[in-house]
Amino acid sequence: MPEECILLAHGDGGALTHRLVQEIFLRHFDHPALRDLTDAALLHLPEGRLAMTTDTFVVKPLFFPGGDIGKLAVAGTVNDLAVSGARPLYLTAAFILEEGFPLADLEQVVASLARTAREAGVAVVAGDTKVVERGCGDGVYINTTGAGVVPAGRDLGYHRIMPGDAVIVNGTIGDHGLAILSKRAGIEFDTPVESDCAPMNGLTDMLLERFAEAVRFMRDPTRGGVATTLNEVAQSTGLNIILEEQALPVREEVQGAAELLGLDPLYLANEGKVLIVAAPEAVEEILTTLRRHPLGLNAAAIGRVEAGTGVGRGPGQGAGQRTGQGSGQGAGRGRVFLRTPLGGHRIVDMLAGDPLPRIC
Amino acid sequence: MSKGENANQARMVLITGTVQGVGFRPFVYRLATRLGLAGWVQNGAKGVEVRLEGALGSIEAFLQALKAEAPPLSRIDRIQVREAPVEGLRLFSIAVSDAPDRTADVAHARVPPDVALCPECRREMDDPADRHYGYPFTNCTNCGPRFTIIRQVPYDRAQTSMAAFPMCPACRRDYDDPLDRRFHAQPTACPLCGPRVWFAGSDGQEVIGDWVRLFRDSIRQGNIVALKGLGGFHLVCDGRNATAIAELRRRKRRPAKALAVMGRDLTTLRRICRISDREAAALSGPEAPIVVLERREDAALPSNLAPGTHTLGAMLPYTPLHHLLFDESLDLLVMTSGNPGGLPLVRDNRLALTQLSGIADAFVFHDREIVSRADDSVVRVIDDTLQFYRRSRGYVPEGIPIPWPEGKKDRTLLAVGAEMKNAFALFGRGAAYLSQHIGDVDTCEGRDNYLESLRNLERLLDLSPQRVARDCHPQYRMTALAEEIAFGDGAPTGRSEISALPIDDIQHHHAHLAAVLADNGETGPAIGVILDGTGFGEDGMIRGFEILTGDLRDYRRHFWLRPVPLPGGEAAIRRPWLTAAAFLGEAFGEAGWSQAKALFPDRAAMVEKARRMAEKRLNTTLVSSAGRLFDAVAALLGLCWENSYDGQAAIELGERVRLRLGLTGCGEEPLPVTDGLMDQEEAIVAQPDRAERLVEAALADGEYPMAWMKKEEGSGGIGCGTGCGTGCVTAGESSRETGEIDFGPLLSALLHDREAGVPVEVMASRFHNTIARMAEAAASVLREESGIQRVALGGGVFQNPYLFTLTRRLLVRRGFFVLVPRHVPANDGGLALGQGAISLWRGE
Ligand SMILES: [Fe+3]
Ligand SMILES: [Mg+2]
Ligand SMILES: [Zn+2]
Ligand SMILES: [Zn+2]
Repeated sequence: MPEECILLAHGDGGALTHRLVQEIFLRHFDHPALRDLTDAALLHLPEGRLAMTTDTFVVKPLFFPGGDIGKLAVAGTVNDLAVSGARPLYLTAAFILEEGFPLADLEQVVASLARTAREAGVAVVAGDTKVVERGCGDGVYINTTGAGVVPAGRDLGYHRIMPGDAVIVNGTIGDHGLAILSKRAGIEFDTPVESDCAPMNGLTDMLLERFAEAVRFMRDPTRGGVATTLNEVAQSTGLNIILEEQALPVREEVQGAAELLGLDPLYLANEGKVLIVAAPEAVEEILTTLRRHPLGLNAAAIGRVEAGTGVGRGPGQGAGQRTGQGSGQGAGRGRVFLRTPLGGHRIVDMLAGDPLPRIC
Repeated sequence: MSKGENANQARMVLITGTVQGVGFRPFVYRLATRLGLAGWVQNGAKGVEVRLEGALGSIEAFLQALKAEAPPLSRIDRIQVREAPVEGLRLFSIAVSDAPDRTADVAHARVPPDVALCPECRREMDDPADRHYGYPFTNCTNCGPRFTIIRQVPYDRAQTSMAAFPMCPACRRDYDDPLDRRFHAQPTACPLCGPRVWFAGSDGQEVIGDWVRLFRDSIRQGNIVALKGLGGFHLVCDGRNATAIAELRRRKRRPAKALAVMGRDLTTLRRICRISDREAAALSGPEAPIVVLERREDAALPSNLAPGTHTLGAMLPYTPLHHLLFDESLDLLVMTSGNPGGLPLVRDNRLALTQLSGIADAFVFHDREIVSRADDSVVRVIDDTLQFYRRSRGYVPEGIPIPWPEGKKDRTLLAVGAEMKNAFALFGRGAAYLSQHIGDVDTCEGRDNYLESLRNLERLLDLSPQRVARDCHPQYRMTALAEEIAFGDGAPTGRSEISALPIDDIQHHHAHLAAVLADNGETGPAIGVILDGTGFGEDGMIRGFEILTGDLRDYRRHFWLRPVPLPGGEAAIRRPWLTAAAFLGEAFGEAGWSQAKALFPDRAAMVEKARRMAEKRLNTTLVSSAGRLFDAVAALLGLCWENSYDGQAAIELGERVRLRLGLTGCGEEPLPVTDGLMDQEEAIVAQPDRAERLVEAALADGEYPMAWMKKEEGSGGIGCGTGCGTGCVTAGESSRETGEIDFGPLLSALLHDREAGVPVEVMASRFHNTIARMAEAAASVLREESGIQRVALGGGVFQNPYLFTLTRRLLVRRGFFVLVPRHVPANDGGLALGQGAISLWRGE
């Protein structure tokens, strides 16, 4: 059934390629810059600094509860721009297709990608298609490159984080990672867990418009989850981050499923979440604002930033005296801790590979 | 003294060992005076220095009496004597300690461990006429706090937390009098000048009144009291009040793990437990550890003290304060460590209020600062041998002499220890100095405790490590911490990247083997039967069942348990039912998983999820572990489906064997008490009939088959290698083609028994017998191959008394020389000893 599947000939630049582009890609991506199929898109940009990012999506399975690779390819790149303070404007989309991949599936992916782009208000302005031999891919890989503009007056970054700042997340954590893993293993839970995959530029833009000064820093906690992202922040700034275990928004079904699978929601990937470091006095207002947005209904303040005081010294009454040289503005090496209801501060490390048992 | 016809002679004597802070100088003074010798005694750089002048006969008598009459807490390692010119001294005197700014060398004088209240002080405390009457901090040179109150060496009052309490004239007089028991007893104190105790309500406010009465009233009302003691706080309630115990368990979130008790005296404990001479000696000794005892069936005790076991961890009052807690009607107290789960022992009043207020109804505080934490030590007498479950208060910082390579006399190093039940060790001057129990280091507080304890011990021992040994588990927090220490973070003095200390990565079970060797003063080679829960193998597999040959330098793995994909990794370790399902699935495939669903019907859906995880290798780790096999069997026998504490399933399985082999009151006469280091093996060998009877009684329950995996047969359908019906493991050279030991036949037979309604006690015994026989068979094969006669038993699984005793006896019967842990726990609490020994011997 050659018509229904990707053939090697779909990638040779001939008639089949042309048909594929016309009937699938152009039908879904409608933009003047694309229509003429020129070699490059010529685009106008508003005032501000240009922000660019690129990401390649190889997710397995291609379709999962709450999304698919097409939606993910937009959300991932748009979110990287958004958390940098940019307004995303343009996307490119490059597809690497595996011989034998059903055209119907491709169409579904492309339609989803186009729909998500429209929702995010970004235009797909360039693209590419390649076909690899059967067995050399997993159906479809997608690369997206995004461009956007950071309006004047926005300045986000590690350099603005200081002790006392609050850490906020716009909703429940771990949903995406768990949805993918359980689908991959063919495990079904009574209450299915859906990915949170969504472009967040609307939410971040709203936030930055209102709180340009109070918001110091944003990051999307994707691979490695909240724990890994915050460890990067702590290490880059030399500051400690103290998370409150009881404040972490985790869906009950995610918590239950994660427990069974032996996974920690703190380390599970998110695709529609942003970590916001903000001035403490603005926290309540920021939360109120976030909760009015559909992507921020479960927003919560989950922790705070503290001076990093070296190895032996944590949030308690440590005794350490750091003698080495610290990086960043902190006096020592930054760490992430999780304050438990019992009052202890569990060390939250960066994840290095699959978790191995340590209990003897 | 007199200048008789015998020409006077003079000698300089240097005595090394534990000879400072134990009443050694007054002892020397009394001895010399008695023999009419002149001269002096002083604490010197390397030990106690004595100058003697007098008749040769008297000098000789002195040297003889020195060892024979030495004070109870002292330990003489060496006496060096050299001739000296006669100076014509006329009196004997005690020279004052050197000034505090002595050279670093001076610090070699050892810091002694804390010592339980001595009988003389006890008598004074009970004597209304004595000024120490009822005083909770009474002590003398023979007893009292040491390690827990010392900040700095040399050990002088000014360098302890007693510095805050200037002595009154009466205490000063005792302290200055060479003939007084309190001569230079640094923590000397009385009600006039020493620390005080007070009772406080749940808000921490002092309640005016007699604290002892307030405490007893509160306990009698069923309350939980946080009590500051020697090395930290205890949570205390009435040991005979089941409701109070239940409430303590609920508040401490400790549903099942056994709680330790303190009994008023030995008589009280004898009424509730069987106590052998050896156990009585351990209970009453200067270390006063918790001793795990056999509960008497007729003891009317709350069932929630130590559920699922026949034992009771008990200790005797070890400080004057503890003695004051009891009266006729209050003779048994639960004394569990005062810390919220997973955090270090609370040691200061302020933190107690914040960390323990959710658990305690009231507090007993005192104002003597605890400088170093020390949890209670836990020991058990198994097969007439003292085994440590936890080595801490009363033993730390006593050094353990170990084999030391020639030409490396100056070498010092730090072995960082394991991830859980952590204790680290400093190595130097021919000995290993294990730290107190540190516990978990996965919290900020635990990590602070670790680093602070490390700095303290480095300072007290004046050892600065030149090298760091650690486990090779890539995800141990200790692995990363070792690196930070090597690079100078957290060390007393910073080191730059250039001068970072070299690090040795030591495989977990090699370290267990080396710990047993070094603890016995041996360097190997030996066969190591190492059974525990989790250790990282260099191949990435999680191992806990390794039969090795090796020495302090190197090792080879010969046998291991067939690995199982364990879904959920660490989470599965808390779920023996899940482990059981994974074992069945690995052994019998689809049929095994179905069987698991039938065995755990209310978890069938979860078993199915686990099956898929295992299939897809989702968060699934390959595990070859004895601990997990014990978990699986405990769940299959319906004993324990979930672990509420570390090792629960294995402990409850171990408690179900039919014979209480190796334990007091199991029906056999204990072996004659041999003094100290006489090898138990010799005693066993000396009574072959008795040993034989014991082994035969145990084996009479039968055993299950276990077989060496054969390469051709793949992973399914393996029978007993020898085809013998009931399945003893007999390993001939020919049947051994890989080192993998299959558990499939064992599980089949066990499930068959279960089906047939065989009593749990018999199945539990058969399972234990199988493991012991397997060890015997494996050791026999290895002896044939290598000629090695020595077998070392190590790893936490050997804390199981039945397995320990039977394995040891079987091996002794076969003519092996069996090495068991002596001064450190078989579990990960002793790991640092092995890590350091290997690092020391492995070389540059
Ligand atoms: Fe171990
Ligand atoms: Mg990205
Ligand atoms: Zn005393
Ligand atoms: Zn006094």
